[in-house]
Amino acid sequence: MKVICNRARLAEALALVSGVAVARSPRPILQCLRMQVENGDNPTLTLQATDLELGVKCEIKEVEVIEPGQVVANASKLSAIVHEVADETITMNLEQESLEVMASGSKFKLFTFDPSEFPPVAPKEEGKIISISAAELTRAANLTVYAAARETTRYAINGLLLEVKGNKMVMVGTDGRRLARVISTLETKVDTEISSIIPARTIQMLSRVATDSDNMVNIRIMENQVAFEVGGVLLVTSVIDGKYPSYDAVIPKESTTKVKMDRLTMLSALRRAALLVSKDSRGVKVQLAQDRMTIEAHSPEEGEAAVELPVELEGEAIKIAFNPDYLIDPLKVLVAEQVVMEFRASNAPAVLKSGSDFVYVLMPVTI
Amino acid sequence: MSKIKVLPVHLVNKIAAGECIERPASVLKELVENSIDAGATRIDVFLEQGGCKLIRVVDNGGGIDPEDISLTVTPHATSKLADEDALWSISTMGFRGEALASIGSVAQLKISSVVPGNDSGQTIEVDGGQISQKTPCAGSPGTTIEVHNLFFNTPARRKFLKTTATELNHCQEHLIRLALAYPNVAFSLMHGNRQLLQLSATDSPRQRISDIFNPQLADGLIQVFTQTKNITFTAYLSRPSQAKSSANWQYFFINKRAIRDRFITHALREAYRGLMPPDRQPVGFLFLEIEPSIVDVNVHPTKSEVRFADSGLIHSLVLGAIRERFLSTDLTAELSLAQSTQSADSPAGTQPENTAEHQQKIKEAMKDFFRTNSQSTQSKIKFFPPKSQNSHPYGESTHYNNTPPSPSATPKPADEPIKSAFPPITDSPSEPLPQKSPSDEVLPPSSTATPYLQIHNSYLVVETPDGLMIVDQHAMHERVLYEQLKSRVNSGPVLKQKLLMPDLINLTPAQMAHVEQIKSSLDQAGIEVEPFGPQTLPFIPCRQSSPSLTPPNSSTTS
Ligand SMILES: Nc1ncnc2c1ncn2[C@@H]1O[C@H](COP(=O)(O)OP(=O)(O)OP(=O)(O)O)[C@@H](O)[C@H]1O
Ligand SMILES: [Mg+2]
Repeated sequence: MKVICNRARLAEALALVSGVAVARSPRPILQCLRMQVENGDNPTLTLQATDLELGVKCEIKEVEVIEPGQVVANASKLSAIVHEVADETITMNLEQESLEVMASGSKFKLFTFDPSEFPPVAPKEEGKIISISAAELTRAANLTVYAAARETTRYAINGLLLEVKGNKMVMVGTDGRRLARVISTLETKVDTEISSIIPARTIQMLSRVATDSDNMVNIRIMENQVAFEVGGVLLVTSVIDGKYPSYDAVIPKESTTKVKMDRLTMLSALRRAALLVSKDSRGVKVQLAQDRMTIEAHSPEEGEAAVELPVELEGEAIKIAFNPDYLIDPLKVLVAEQVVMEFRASNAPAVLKSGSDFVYVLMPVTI
Repeated sequence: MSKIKVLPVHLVNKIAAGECIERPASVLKELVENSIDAGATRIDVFLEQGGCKLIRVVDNGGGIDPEDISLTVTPHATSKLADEDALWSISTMGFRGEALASIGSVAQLKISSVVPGNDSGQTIEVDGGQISQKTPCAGSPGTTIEVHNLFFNTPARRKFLKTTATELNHCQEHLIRLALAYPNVAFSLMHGNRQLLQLSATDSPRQRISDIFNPQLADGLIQVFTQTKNITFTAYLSRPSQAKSSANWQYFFINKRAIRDRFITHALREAYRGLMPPDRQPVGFLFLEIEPSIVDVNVHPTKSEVRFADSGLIHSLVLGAIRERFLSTDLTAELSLAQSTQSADSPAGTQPENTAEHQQKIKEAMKDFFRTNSQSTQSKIKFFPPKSQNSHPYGESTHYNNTPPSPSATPKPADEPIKSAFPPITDSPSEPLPQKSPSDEVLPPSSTATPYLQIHNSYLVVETPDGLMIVDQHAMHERVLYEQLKSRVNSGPVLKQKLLMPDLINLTPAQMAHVEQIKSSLDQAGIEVEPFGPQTLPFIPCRQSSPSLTPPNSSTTS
């Protein structure tokens, strides 16, 4: 195998792929990536890595193939090398079971592994395919992924729910205290109903991959796997086995107080108030009356804050308390200028809405 | 045809006399045993106020002949033991003909029974020993016995009854023992209008264990089986790693009778010796079927102890069978301290304790631990003194110091082998750390830290003035968190994050009773608990965690 490759493009691909390889795996081959060089009309260098749960495959076209072949070598080392050298191109050559990496003035030799031992990164079955624009998918991902739980023993909520029905795709994230749900419209209808729980890490990865918003993403949904294909990158992930909580049941249907406000004003108000919440008891008091929202924070060690902002209030005045981080999270990723919040009682879930497709339910705290 | 006979007096005297009725649970046990003796396949128990106010047992068994019904409450009248020989080969739960009579003398008792095939049956009531006339009654086949106001006429004994929760707990425990011994009988237990147990009949003891406790426990149990001419031994035992801190999870049965026995207890402990820390207790369900003639069940009024003709034999049989099974079982996976060497290729999320984030938390907690700990101990601990590269390793106070250290007597040689074997702990800028891979990363060095060695990323070895201390860092981390929470709770009301979706936890009746007792402490710690749903056992707390325990997992504000 011998290939000359655009260094910047390779570095970018390596950064992505080596993020999946497991630096600490006791199986050395999982610390590696596999490179495959193909010639013909369409010379490509394909990089693959997997941790057995998530696999990634990335094609690079900016190559000149001298000799096709394949090699398996340590991902983080290779990535570091390619990152450090400054040349425009880089040459990789498999020479007697060593991978030679050559740039001007430097030459590296990396030991390699038997490519046949490398676990395949490929969807296991046909599955059902849906198509969605990269822009819409990243929007849905960004609006939900922060709400997913981390490391809870309720494994299902460590992932994001992806549901497809007709021409609607629903994505849901929750950690049991708050829940984010976003609905996207697909260009084509799907005839069966789909429901999979996708690891949050895959979704995070996806927003890094699907950056070119003009692209379409093909989502292949299988029994135990989901694959995302976009612009030369394939992500194959195992789905989380489990029962996702019925999200519809926790979205309040009624409210007694409704406020509309400017998203950025609210975000900045919360951030300011949050400067003075106490370290181990993160709560701000929110008071709504007469077109004003007052956010108060109190930290026994440091002091207090009170921030006011104008709102359009409909319904009853209310006092309620929240962990400010839980409100800041969605406000940061939304794009709309205005957001709406709805309340029922100070011990009942509150709702943040933007447009008709995004709903965020948040449980208050009691101080 | 009359079946119940009054035992001859000489036989009565051979039967351990004494009170078998101590508390509601003992009444419940006697009633349910009678139902089992009557061949019931479904037994429903209703309790009020932990059984102090009412115990009702409804069975679908063979019923009581109308002409016998008043004999049931006559002392020493039994249908189960006709002559002396039978006493040495008891195969029913009851044999003394004493239980109902005793109950009748200390409570208000009502017995209604319909023999299968008959349209109607008889009812009889006993009020503090006064037996009423029998009256006809209707009902489905089987027997219903109600015991109201236990000890109503013996205030002294009533005073010894504990809280409702405690009495209920005892009742549940007794019923669970019977349910474990008779998986082929369906049981239910209601307390007031709360359903505490709902067990359908099954052929599998493991299924019964699963229904009573939880499937995770039941699925993990190792089955042991052995048989000799007169003894059959079956056991379901936990892996050493599933051990508990108390022996409450050990159930012994001889001929389906729950018993305590020190020989069996000892054999069980012996079998686990060396497989788990000495303060742990295995979970175990041990069933012995023994030829009735070689075991005496009549040595204790509540029949909870037995006497073996040859106790050594039972001991060695139990121990031998378990040992042999353990030898052929791969217990190693559960025994290794391999949490830290767990392969990272196991699916994410299945090892929540082992993620980088978690390790990081442990490290931070430990850093603080040693910082605070070192303030009190630093003066005493001179193990690799952090700043004294050139002073004597044994410190000033020892006789080694009689001669001033020469430059060549620096601690270097002594330090060297250890430092290369383990990552150095103290900040030693003169010696750059060897290139470390993430896996052998050490705790962040802190200048005041007490030196320690870390082994397998699991244990810490620390020198103390008169020896060394080995710390299980995981346990320590838990302790640190516990202390943090404690001081947080003590310093004022804790902020409670309400949960959108409560965490559901299944508890056994005993655990549930316990949770009810500590409910207010949990509440102070920011955890609200409430029972949930009409389901069988599930007791489903709504957990409202305090952020100091579970910090928000969102990115912090910036
Ligand atoms: N649920 C029942 N179904 C049918 N018969 C019953 C039932 N409960 C009691 N009996 C009859 O009443 C008799 C007396 O019961 P009791 O519990 O007092 O004595 P026992 O079971 O014979 O001996 P022990 O005192 O050891 O329990 C039993 O022998 C049995 O014939
Ligand atoms: Mg009896």
